[in-house]
Amino acid sequence: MNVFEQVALGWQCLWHARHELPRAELWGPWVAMLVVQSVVIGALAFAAHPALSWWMVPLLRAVTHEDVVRFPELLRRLPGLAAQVAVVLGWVLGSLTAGAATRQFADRFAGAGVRSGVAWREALSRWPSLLLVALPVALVGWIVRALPGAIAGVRMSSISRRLLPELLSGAELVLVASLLYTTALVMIERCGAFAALREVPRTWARGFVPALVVVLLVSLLRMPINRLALSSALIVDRGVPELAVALALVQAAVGVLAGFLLTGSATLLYLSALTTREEDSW
Amino acid sequence: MRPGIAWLVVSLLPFLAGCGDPDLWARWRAERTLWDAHRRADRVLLRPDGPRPQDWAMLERRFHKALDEFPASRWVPLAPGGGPARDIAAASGDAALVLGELAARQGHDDIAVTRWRQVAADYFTLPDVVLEARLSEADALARLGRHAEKLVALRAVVDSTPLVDAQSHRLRTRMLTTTRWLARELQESGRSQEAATMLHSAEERFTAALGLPGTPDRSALASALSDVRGALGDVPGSLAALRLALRAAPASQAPTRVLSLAEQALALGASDSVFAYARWAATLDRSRNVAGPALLAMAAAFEQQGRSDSALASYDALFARWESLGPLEAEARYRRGILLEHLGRWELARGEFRTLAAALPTDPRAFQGLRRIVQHSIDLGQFDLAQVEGDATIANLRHLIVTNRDPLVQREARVVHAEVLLALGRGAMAESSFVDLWRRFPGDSTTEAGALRAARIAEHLPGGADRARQLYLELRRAARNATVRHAADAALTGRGATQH
Repeated sequence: MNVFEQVALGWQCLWHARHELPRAELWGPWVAMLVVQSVVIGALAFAAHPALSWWMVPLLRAVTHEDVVRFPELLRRLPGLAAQVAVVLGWVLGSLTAGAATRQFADRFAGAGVRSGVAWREALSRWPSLLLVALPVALVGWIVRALPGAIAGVRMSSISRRLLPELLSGAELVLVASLLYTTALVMIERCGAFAALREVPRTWARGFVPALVVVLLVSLLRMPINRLALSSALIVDRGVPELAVALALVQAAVGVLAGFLLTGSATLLYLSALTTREEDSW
Repeated sequence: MRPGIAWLVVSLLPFLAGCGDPDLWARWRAERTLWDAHRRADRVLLRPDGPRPQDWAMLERRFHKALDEFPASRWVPLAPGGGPARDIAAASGDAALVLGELAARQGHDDIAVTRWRQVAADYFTLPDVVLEARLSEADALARLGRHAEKLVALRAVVDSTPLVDAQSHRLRTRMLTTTRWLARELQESGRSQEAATMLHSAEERFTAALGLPGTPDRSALASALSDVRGALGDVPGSLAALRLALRAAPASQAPTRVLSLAEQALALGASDSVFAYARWAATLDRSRNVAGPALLAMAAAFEQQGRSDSALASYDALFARWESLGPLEAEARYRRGILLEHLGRWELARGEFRTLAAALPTDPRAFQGLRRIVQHSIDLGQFDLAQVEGDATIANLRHLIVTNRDPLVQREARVVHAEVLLALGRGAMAESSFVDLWRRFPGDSTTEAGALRAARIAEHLPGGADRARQLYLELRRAARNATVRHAADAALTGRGATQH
């Protein structure tokens, strides 16, 4: 395949993944992920409540090193805190969710029935491998989010300070694209973590460009809400502070939607361009 | 146990535990209620046509609701323990203070005073709330003309408010400014002995606080101690405190601190010290911001010592060193002009004043320079020339008053306008100008003093006795400046007036 064909393949796989959105049987893992994230956001928003404060307050103090359980300060910082938690959740639970979803998408694209129970059991049995293959992306994601605070006291030019987070975000997208097929390798080819990572360079020849197209297009979907979340302090101060909770929930929902599309596209890409099976995948 | 039941128990455990501090939740609700009330108040107060009666009623309800939900009787006794209970008490206090503010903004200062006094009584364990209540009460009492009670409120602040907040470990800088404010008010009210006693007491408190190792913001406290000692006439002590402030300040502030030492020494008449500190400041920072005022201070010190030639040389060095003096130019030109006038070099002095008026037409020193030009002619008996100069000055000032809407420029221009009219012997016009000035800028010492002059002018004008009496009565009741009030009272007493 030449580059243009690869670009077209990436777009086509994303487009077909989009067509799977109305299929309720594929949403199981993602709904579970969204419920967990919503519970976390709710716990943050109500951290002062006696039912939660006995463990939320020490946790928040350990993370922020100050008393943030104040109105409206906690709500100002809620989208940022939720995003920090999302990095950890995305690694721990997101890898499991992506694994189960990959199995479901593979069955769906193979024309077989979607078996949620089987998918979850397989994902759970391969959870350690899923965690390990998702670790590099999670680490970079954590660095990107921690960077603005880390460089606040470092002397550098204003243009460097402005461009560095953008450059790292770009590097994160390239890394995600590079490692897009690891979950498929673990769940479909039943590789172990290290075997899957050793296979990654093999996928680049035919799979990197389509993966990059998919990752870039899906990231565009998340960009508006992520930009809005950066202005959460302004929204709290000028509007209704509780809107910050809604903002965090919408951010989580868009993240889940992006995960659905990304996993579906990655599975379809793998089956279309990288699998060694002789049967047609779709 | 079945895995499903185990998961259920684990998931419900955080909620079953419920061991969280209920005060945290109460604090959250208090802050939420108060934040919402403040936001509504901000919106209402920013309305282009001002708040309507229903807006005031709505705001009163909101803040009363906050007080009802978090009453002082419940939370103030818990405040000394710190933590969320203290924050809730502070939020409650904030709501109570705002209720006083709402009354004051609606023109009901008497109700505001009552509310603030209640706040000071109810929130006795929260010094910051009590401080704010008493200062607001003092302001309202001043507006009501109840000046004796105002002094009582200020005295309560100075005597009973701790300098350092025990919880946040911050210095209460408003205490420092209130101490100087009260001392000035007592002196202007003719209670100099009481002022001196209070200043001595403040000196002891500040010195004791500076002696404690953990006192925060030592530089500001030492500067305040310097002010107090200066007010007591203790020049060496004042300078010693300023040197302490210099040692306590960050290194980056050293040039401005040393410059403050020079300026304070100048104010205290210690001209030898001025030279030492001014040279030191200019060495530390050669920029116009520090070395410029340092040279200016040296010139003033030379004048204090009667060394006019050295003073002139300092002014010349100032103008030679920098192409543009910026904010220093007006002061430097004016003072050089005054010095030249005293040396009998009037043509040069007038040139300075004219240059100043041309270069910085809205600066207060430019107006004073024009005033000097008129006054000089009068002092020399050149009344015709004074009329010509005066008419030109009056025309300039009227043009500025009409075209420039800056309140500061308006005020300064009107002051000099009235003074020039008076100098030219146009008493009736001067009187109405001074009175108009006071009506436009009430509560200002300068305009109140102008109104006092208007009353004295009116006494000597045909049919002006009644006008004078009315002015004295108003000034005795409403003037913020104690000296003006006493002068008005003395004038009324001297005239045999007994009615208010």
